[in-house]
Amino acid sequence: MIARRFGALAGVLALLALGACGTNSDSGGGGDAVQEFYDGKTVKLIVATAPGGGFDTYARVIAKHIGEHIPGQPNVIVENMPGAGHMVAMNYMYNQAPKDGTVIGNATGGLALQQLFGSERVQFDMTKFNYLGQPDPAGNTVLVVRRGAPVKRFEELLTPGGPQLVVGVQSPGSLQTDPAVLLKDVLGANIKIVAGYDGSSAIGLAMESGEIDGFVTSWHTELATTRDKFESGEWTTLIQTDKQRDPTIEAIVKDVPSVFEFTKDKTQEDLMFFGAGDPRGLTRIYFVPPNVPADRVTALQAAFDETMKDPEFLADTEKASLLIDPLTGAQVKEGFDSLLNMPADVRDQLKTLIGGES
Amino acid sequence: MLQSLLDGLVQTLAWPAFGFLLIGMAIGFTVGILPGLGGAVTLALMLPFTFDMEPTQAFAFLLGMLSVTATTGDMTSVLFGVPGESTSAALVLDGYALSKKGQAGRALGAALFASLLGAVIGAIALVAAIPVVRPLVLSFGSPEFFALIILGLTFVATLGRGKMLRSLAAASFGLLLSTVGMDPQSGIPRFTFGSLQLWDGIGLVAVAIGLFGLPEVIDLASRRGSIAGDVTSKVSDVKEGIKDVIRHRWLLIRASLLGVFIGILPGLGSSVAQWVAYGHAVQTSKDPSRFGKGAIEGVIAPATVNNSKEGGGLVPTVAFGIPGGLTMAILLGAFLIQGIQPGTEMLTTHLDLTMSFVWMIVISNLIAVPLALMAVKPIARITTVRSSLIVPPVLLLLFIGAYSESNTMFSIVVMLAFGLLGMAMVKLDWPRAPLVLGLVLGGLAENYLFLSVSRYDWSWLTRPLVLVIIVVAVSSALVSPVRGIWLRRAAVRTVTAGEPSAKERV
Repeated sequence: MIARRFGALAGVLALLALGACGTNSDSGGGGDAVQEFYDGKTVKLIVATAPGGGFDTYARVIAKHIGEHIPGQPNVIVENMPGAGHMVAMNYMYNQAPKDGTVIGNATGGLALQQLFGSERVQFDMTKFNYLGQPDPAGNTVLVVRRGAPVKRFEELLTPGGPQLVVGVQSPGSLQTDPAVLLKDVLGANIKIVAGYDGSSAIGLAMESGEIDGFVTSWHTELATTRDKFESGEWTTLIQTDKQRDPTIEAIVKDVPSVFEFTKDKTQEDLMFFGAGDPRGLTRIYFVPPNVPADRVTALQAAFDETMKDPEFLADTEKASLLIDPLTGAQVKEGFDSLLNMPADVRDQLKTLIGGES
Repeated sequence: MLQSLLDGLVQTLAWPAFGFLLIGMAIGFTVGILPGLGGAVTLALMLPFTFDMEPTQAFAFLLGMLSVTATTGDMTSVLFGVPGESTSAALVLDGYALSKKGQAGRALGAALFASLLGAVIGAIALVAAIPVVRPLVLSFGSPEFFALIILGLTFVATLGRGKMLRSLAAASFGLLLSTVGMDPQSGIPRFTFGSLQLWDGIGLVAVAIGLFGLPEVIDLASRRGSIAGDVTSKVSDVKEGIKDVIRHRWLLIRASLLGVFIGILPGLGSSVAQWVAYGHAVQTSKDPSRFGKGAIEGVIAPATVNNSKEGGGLVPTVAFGIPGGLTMAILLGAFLIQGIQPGTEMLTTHLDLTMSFVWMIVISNLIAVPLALMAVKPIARITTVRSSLIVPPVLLLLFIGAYSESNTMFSIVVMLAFGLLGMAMVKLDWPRAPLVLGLVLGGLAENYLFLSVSRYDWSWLTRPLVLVIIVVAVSSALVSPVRGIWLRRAAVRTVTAGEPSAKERV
């Protein structure tokens, strides 16, 4: 058993060496059969972040298993292409990546807002990618506060002259920042936003030392990583962005309202929905460039779906505390279509609220 | 406490955990020597293979790898003037200067032995610090971090070796460079000139490799001969380096403690420690003018701190789930994979597990360093090989090192640009270290200042710990030049009196 593991490690080292040398995939080999095309090929999985984060971890586990589900069993390797908040990888995937199905991209769907707001740095159209899916569940963003925070209920933040909550966020435009801005500016919650924390660990330290009272995060992430803090009451959550109250929250923290219980009209509802709700949950998306031959796209989509059900894959993800509750490629596409076609007035208001300078 | 310490040792030495430790070390050894491919990347790549392991096996594997990377990463800095990773850049200044004097063996011996002792002393200090870790870490908020960074910046004065104005100018340029890229508070790109490549700022690895590495390679290529120049016959003794470390034992201990302190505080990053230690070595030296020309203290301090900080960095990671740097963030991922919930229990009920981590760092150093020391003699001989054979592979190292920071050709352009700047600075006698220090600290300084002001307005200035640190910073800034003048006068008065530790060996 142990000897086998050692052997596997040696094999991995050899693979690593290969990967470091850079593996060029042949483009445009013909043949009708998808299987014939992928046979003996190497598929590159481009991750838009540096090694080590959530994106990278998911991608490496997926890369380990997805090859077996693609006809022809190609070798799948991960390549990190960090830069400009996923923008470098996204632009690369749209414009430069080979359009033969040998390159799969993985970046955040959050960039759809940049496209929507007309940022000049966007050199892609997210309605045109071919989506394979997303491994983890979309949505449900929550406002987490620590035990010593000045408020216990979200309603208290809406009382005129009431207590103020200090919320720490990372850089503007992120899924952890925009909902906080919208709670403040759309619902009128008495929140002081302190922006610029360098990553979730900096936020965690600020929570521990009492520098901030709360932060915005994905509930699913917290469930996988800090569940005990909620169970012990050290942290609690004040509000969630799902329209229906999430039963997994109810099971630990009682009576957490949805933002939509506080929206007063359709405009507020739209702003919260598009700016903090479900469509913003399209984060860890997997896709191939436009104009990849349709039969290969179909095969890759099927391979993605099968991987998500593969017992060995699921065993690995469980070990790594990676949540799997997949969306199909069609669901991802549908999400972007709705997001990118939101009413113009909602788009313009959102742009003023969270669009930054772009 | 003692029981946990013993339990931890038993867990570490138990088979098969020990076997995994050895495999991890073998990987770390190789990766450490290759520039660019740092400890963090290696950890990330190896993480998936720990899924099937037991916790002690997984951590033996990962920590064995990590602690050896930190040790061997220093070797290319000393041998070729090419930093093995961004955490080894400070070692170039005096390490490579010694190689050029034909004392590569001595420098490597000192660096390796200091690494070993740094890891051990760091581990001891760490164990002693466990009871006070939580209050210590939690007393540091954004304002305190900002004050600490100001303190770090006062080392600019010492790094410039007497050229105060030039040091300040170089450091200011470094600070300016750190503002390039996406502004972290409002998300506005600054000085990016429409290029996405500049969004993430100017990469430290590319700058360090270019600034320090390229001028040396060009110099080597143009003067023929070998790195060690004319003194080729004197491949000096490794033992000499070990003796140097023992001779400077107080510096070693201070640097180890410094490393533990910086490691324990999350939020200072791993590149800062080496420069602070180097600055400290210069500041406390009786003859600061020798630094940059081959002072062995300039090798000992950064090599020590590089290893002692790893143990320190483990503490906030296990105790709060708050990693101090990228490598610790990846290690945190490994905790979650193993179903270990970081928290104060790691310092109480699961203390034996925490202790086993400390042991893993110590033991892997105890094994790797003697092995590396044995290899020093043949390795150091590289510095006597004629330059036409050495320049091409070292150039390759420069390019790979710069490229692998972000996997883009742009990093190579940055490396070359700073290489040219470095050559100009050498030629015109401008100190390069303050520039790097400015770049390392600039982003942190801006970030913590902004956070402090937006959280506390200006009342952060009245926080007691902030005041204390600022007073220390101001006195440090004032003391250094005054002491410099005093030392120079003293030197003039006693021209003939030699200082044993300052004795040059060429």
